[in-house]
Amino acid sequence: MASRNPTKVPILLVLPCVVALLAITIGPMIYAFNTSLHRYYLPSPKHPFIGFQNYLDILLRDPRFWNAFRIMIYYGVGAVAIEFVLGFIIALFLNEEFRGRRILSGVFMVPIIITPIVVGFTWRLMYKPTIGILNYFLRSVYLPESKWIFVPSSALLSLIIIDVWEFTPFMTLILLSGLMSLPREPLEAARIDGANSWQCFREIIFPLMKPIIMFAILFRLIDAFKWFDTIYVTTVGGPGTATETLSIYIYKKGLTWLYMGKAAAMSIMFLIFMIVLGNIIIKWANIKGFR
Amino acid sequence: MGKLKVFMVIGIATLVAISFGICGGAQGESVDWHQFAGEHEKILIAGCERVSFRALLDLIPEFEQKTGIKVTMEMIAEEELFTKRLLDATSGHGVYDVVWLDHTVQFARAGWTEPLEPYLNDPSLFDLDLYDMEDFVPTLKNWGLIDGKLTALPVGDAGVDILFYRKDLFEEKGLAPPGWDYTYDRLYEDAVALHNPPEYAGIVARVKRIYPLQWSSPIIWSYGARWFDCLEHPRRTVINSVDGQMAVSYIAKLVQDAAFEECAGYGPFEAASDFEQAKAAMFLDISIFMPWFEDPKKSKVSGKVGYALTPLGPRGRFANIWACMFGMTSYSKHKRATALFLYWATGPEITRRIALRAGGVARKSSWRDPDVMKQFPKDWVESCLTMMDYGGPEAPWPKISQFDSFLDIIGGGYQAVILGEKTAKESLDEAARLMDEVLQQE
Amino acid sequence: MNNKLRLAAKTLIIVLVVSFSLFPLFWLLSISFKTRVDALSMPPKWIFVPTLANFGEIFRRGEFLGFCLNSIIVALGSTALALAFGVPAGYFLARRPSANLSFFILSTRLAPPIAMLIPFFVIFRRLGLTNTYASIIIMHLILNLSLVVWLMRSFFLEAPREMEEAALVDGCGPYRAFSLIALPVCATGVVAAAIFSFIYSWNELLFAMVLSGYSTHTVPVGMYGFITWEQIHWGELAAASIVAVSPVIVFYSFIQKYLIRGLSFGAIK
Repeated sequence: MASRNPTKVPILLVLPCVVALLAITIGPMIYAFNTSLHRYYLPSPKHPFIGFQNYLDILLRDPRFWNAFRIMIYYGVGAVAIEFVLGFIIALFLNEEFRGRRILSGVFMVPIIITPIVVGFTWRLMYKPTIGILNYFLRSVYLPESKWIFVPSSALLSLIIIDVWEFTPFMTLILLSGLMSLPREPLEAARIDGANSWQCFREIIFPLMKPIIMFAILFRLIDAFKWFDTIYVTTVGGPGTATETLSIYIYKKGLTWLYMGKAAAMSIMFLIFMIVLGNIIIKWANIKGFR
Repeated sequence: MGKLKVFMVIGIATLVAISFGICGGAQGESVDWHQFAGEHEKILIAGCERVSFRALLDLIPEFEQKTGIKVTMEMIAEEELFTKRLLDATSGHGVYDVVWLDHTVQFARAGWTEPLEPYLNDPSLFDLDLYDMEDFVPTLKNWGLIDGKLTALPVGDAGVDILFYRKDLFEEKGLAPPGWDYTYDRLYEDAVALHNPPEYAGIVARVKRIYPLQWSSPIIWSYGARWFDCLEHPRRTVINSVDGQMAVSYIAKLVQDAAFEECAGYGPFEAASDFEQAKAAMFLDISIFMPWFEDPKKSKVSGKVGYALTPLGPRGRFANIWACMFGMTSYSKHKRATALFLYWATGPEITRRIALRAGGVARKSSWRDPDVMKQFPKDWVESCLTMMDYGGPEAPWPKISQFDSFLDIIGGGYQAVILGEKTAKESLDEAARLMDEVLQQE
Repeated sequence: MNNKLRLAAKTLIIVLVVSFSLFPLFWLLSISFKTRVDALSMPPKWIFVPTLANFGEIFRRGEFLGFCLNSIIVALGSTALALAFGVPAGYFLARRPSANLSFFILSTRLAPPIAMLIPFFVIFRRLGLTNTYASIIIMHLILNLSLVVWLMRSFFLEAPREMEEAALVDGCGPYRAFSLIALPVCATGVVAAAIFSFIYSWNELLFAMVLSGYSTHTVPVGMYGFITWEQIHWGELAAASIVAVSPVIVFYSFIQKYLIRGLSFGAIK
């Protein structure tokens, strides 16, 4: 390979980005950390400094926090796993030339375009057991009905379905873009050598796509863990706390019950968790050659 | 000759004085509507998208013309309003002069509202005779009194808990319609008898986390239970008393046996739409749902709904009464103008005109006004008017600042029992413990 | 035989995927033309008398078109800024890998937005920026920059360096190497990044709700106007959603042909 001369790439290319991000994020994070060290009930005029008491209270004496953490993991991992598999299949499919391909890929992008609150309310209506359309379809083909988001047992899965519906297009588009910019020669050479589709995929497509795949999974996972809009609109964490992810719990703690100190502490812990997780994923990806 | 002249002068002077008295004070009202004329005063109101506020919005130009004060009422969606007014108050640069207050106590205790007594006692701003404070439903008037200071006034729509039932279904089953002596036991029996899945349920209820608290308060009080040991600055939660456990067990049994399982996730929208799509025979909730049930363009049950009093419990009949409240912010820069606006917007005349469009309001005179009430079902008007006198002991809510935590903890406590996850004793004990912790953090 | 099976399987997949993706939108569309009684009725009314009343209602109020305009301004603004800052940064990180810098940029996306809500509100209030587009656009940068940077980084990593290095040897400056050589090769990535920035910005709720004033409400915030405590005005909400989705679909269909065209660049490689 030709020598890489790193100094040839000017730092000015990245400077505006870094400066902008620093400006926007440093201040609030310091503010949030400071808030987390105080007892900060918003309507109260006094905000005494209490050190790390908030953190200890949350970690040791708040089972609801751990419940929210657990639900968040289930939701994120469940949704992203399904989205990845489905997204890849569809992307492979759309990668081949056929009539109407452009229309199809446009059609397929629709779920991610619709405003999440509208998505939430629409699915909430469709999920209604008595007058909702989904149970109507199930009844028509003699399949058992479900209570969807209205009972604790099926609520989380129903929300995952909404997420899959909404964000598989993200996966698909990213993976499709990656597929489209793959160089053709390796594939053509392999075909000539007699490799079948599965071998092509495993030995050529998948390895070449690794950076894109890592990006897609990483970002989708982060977003799924943080996800708020549709959950808030459909179940608000209910019934009970069956779908109360950490995002929802932090929102309730801070903006509904106004315990800003606790909410800030949970946000900091959330951030730390995500940083650790992000690091782990990237390190693992580096080891496996994902770069 | 001289005496006659004197008499004439005195006579004319008296006549002039009398005529001044008649015209100058416009029916003797002490309020000076023009005191801000030419001063370019402005008021900004954080209002909410509701029928009654729309009605108020349409009437505001009259106020502007009368006084020369420019009034802007932002019609913000509820979700956004909660966050906005909070951020506005805490930012140190608040811009709102009037805020729609459902968290009256919280805002007052935080120092974000202005006590209204000084303005009430100023005759140029408030004419107390014409205004008639006694015309307000007593529960609502007291709700605005926090720590002895009047902080908010009822405006726009008000509601009271009543029992909605399907007259046609009751007739079909040969059941006597709910009357004066209808008890909760009979309610349960009728609901179970009418329960007809999958066509329709005996009763529909909104059981999503915080909502059971709202419609179940009549039941709680009728069983003799209370949430707290006292109304203002409570120390202990007492919902887990024996009476409380009985009440919550009753509620759980009612919902489990006579309502669809999915009520666990129902908010007001789902419950109302079930009832209006003829999917339930009864609905125990607040009266403001009536217009949607009666609108033939939206509802399948219009004309078939009966409106009754809340049932009788072992310790009496109670209802929860609620209204929108307006308060003045403590950081307002236009306090006197705002006071004048509040006097106008919550006065009898404007309230009556809002009632014409919106239905239930907080003033009894509007309820008794024949023009207003002839457009609404007669039994609805009668039931509401009667129930207004049955405000519960803690109605509408205990006067604590941590209102949302209260809704979540106690509501969660009820929900756990309704979902069958815990017994009434376990769940309420746990809720009481959590709530006490919150109270201590005041 | 094998081919026929594959064709059948493919067709089945298409049908399933399309119906699954489109059905909720189709349902929403039908609600926008129905009266409320029809909209919620069960069994569902497939045949009904359509009404334009819902569309009339949202336009009558007049505000809704304003919301769409606001959303377009905010989304375009934040996309443009995110691309301008993010694409070069992605290139930089691909050619001069720095794990720490990459991670820092990623970490800006990791914090839950709620943590930043109040401090930002206070800052923008003090600066007098709360009722402006600028505040929302700036906040959306947090959302979009990390995505653009990382997406572009992946694309640039995939692209071979030889052409740039050849150009550099030929005396071409590094900026030109970037813009004239590397960038066109990764055009699909830029397009994808633009699409997602636009969409995320268009749909963003929390910051827009808190930072927008009465005249800068974006579409998601405006949607809440149709949702009151006891009532969801389904007809109007559906109609508004249909109207709101249209600019995004237009943007996407306009830009996606560049996506497909990217294929030819790949071939030139």
